[in-house]
Amino acid sequence: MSDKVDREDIQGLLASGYDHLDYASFIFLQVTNCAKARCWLASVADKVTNAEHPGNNRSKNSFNLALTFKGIEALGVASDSIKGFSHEFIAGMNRPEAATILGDNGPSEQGNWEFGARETERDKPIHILVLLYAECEKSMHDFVLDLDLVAPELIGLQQIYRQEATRKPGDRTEPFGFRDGISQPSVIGLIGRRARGDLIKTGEFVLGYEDGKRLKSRIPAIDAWHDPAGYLADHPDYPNDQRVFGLNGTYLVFRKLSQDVTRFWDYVDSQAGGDPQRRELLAARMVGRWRSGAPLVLAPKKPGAEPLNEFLYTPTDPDGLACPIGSHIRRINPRDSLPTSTSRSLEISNRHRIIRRGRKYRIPIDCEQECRDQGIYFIALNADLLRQFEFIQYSWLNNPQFNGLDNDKDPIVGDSDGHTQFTIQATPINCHVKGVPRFVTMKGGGYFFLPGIRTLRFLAHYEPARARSQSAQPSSSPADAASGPRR
Amino acid sequence: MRQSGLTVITEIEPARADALPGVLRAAEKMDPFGSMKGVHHAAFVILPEIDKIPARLVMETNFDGQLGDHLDELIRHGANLLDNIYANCKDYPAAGARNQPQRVTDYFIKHRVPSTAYYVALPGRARDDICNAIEVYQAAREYLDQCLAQDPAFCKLDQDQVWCKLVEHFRTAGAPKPIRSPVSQRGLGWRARLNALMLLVLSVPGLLVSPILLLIARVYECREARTCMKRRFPIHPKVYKYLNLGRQNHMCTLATVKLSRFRALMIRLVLFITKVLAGKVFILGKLDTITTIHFARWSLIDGNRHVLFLSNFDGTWSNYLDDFSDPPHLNAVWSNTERFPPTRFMLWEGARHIEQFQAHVVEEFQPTFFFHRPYGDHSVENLLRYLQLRDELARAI
Repeated sequence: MSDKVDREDIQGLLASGYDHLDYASFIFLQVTNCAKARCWLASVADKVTNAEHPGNNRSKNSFNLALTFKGIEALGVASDSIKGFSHEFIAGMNRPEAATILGDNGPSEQGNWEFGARETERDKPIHILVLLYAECEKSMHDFVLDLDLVAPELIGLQQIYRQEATRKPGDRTEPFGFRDGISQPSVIGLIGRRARGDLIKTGEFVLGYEDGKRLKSRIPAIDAWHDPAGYLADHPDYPNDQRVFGLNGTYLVFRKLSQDVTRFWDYVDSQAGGDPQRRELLAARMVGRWRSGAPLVLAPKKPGAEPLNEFLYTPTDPDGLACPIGSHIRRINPRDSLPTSTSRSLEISNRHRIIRRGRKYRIPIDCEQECRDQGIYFIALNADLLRQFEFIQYSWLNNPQFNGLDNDKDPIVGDSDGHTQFTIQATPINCHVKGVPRFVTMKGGGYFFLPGIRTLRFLAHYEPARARSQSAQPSSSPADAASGPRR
Repeated sequence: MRQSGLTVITEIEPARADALPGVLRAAEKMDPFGSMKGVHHAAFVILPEIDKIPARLVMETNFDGQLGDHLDELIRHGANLLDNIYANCKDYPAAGARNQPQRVTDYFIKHRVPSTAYYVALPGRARDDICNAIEVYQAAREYLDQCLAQDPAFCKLDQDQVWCKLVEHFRTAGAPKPIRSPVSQRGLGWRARLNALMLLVLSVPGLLVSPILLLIARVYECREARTCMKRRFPIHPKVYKYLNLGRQNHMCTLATVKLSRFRALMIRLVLFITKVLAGKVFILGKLDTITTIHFARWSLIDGNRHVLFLSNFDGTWSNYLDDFSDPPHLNAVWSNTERFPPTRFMLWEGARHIEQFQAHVVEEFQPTFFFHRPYGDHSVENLLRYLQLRDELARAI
């Protein structure tokens, strides 16, 4: 039995990338005055776009809001009150061991980050991420005014960093020139309701629902006495004296990824010997799709026009002769091509999916001026940072031995250092493109929690003083409180 | 050549307990295991005080051949390392390994703990055998890349012609010589199938009894659900750092067997079955469905009160646990230990609740301060491919 998806409580970003809105703004805020910040949150909580009709109603703007673990604390909720957040979220993307897992080494080291690094956390901790989408710069300006974010210091917040992203209407390419955002999981009750084929369980992306193993992810919960007004829901799997803080929420990954377009095409040119056709083919093999988005597995020789996404590898290309095994799309979602049975491979692949909501950026934003930096603001949503985002990053993208390869990393986004290669499967023998450099550099980011809208209202009306007085009293059933969810 | 596992557990001098992790980390940088021809993976782990048993040092090695030869090699090449490390442990001969090798050998034999179950991914493959396969594979790849770069027409050859050229290349004096291994994957495959068939026949009486055991287990599960089992030792403060050491990782967990005769009996029975299956059936690089383990061992210690699990594996710990959460019979081992996620009839649920399982492993995990990986980052799956190529080349030559 599947649960009914509460789309009115789920934030809209989970259901839509707001593709009709070409201007995006990401504002990173620090809470400087807890009471004022909560007042602001109370005034804007009803304006948060939900997942009921996020993209289809052609709204002129959209607003979503995510919090770091420190951000929840900064809004007055003591860190030990909420039980069940994952270690990765609490410790953050800048925790020491994450650099190995995420490949944030060399030029991507935290010392080079523009925001979100551990060293800057003491002075400029990021508490809130506001994600705004609008039709154009003018409507974005109006929207920012409407949300009182023009002078955040007046509402108890300080702007740590702000990122703008715009694109031409209908432009869906990323800076290397390839069509982006084609492969999105179809999620029960959220995305691709008319999609054919297998839908992925809602619990893979939203807390509180069944996941691919027919289990429910751990939902962060809080003692009921924190919520006398009853903003948060109770849950049949949790003790009666707990409320599910994380219900209808998800974990959001934000990474500013700078793309060295010149280096990428220079490298491809040098390996193709200056032949334009070989150049296009090599670049397409590295990505796994032609510039148009047409997958190599369906159009192996010549560029196809359609950015199709419904295909498997095993029936037509089990050995990677059309789409190399180490290509970007075959790593990020190996579908049926893992070295096991087709059904098992699909099952494993679907346990490691993410919803991508990235936007490309260019600095300066004005295309008339010379470009200083470009890339994408990578945004991913998943219910389990360790099993989904971090797994893909470590075990698939940056794994030199992925799927039987021996010294290859993802040729597009891998943390290559010039000593790895890209293997093109061929008969009678494979061809190796040597010395792949790093084309994509991490410039900053963090892990956020994108809560349900009821949880935002709870935070907006939270009373820390009342909580303190309550916490001084003995809990009615400490055994229950310690036991976590009832299973 | 047969591989075996040596586990030595020794009590740490209380005054030296804090300094020992630093000693082990410094020793790891020198790594004398690299010069020992017969040693595969090796590690040192510190066990915390548990049930009033003081903190202990665990040395884990996986070696080729006889224990006596292994200890000789260990003392011959690693005398300084052993003296440095074991100076922090009780009863270690004061004169050291170089001056009193026999006493040190006796010390290790005295503190040796047998493996109740032991798994080897590549049985019969000595370290030299595996290193030769890596060398041959890399040489073959370099040769083919070179051919392709020098002669674009090379890619127009068919596979048989390429194979002939490769064989010719390895017949030349400059190329590494593919050695003939005493075992082959094909031979092991036949042996695994035959063993599986024999075990199936032999296990018929056991299969008849098993429903009764599972029913009794269910009664115990319902009873245990009402009791809260306390944590036996605190979680190591840097647990997450040590969970991910690199592309290959080491995992040590110390679990406590649930206090009942039935549980004590069941864990011995299940580990016996694991031992038989690991030695007779899972000999093709897979422990059931898990393809990432190089070596694994389970040892019942402290009068069968605790289970010490030591393993060397490819990838991240979470990936590893995901692998572990699928085969139901692995639940059968751990369901007999305290604080493991609740199972149903011993085999089902349990580790399938992956978040609870991960939290449980984090509780029981013991950091590895010294880890020797003889094959760099080469995964089990890749080593199998290299061995297959090398074996075929050796046969052709």
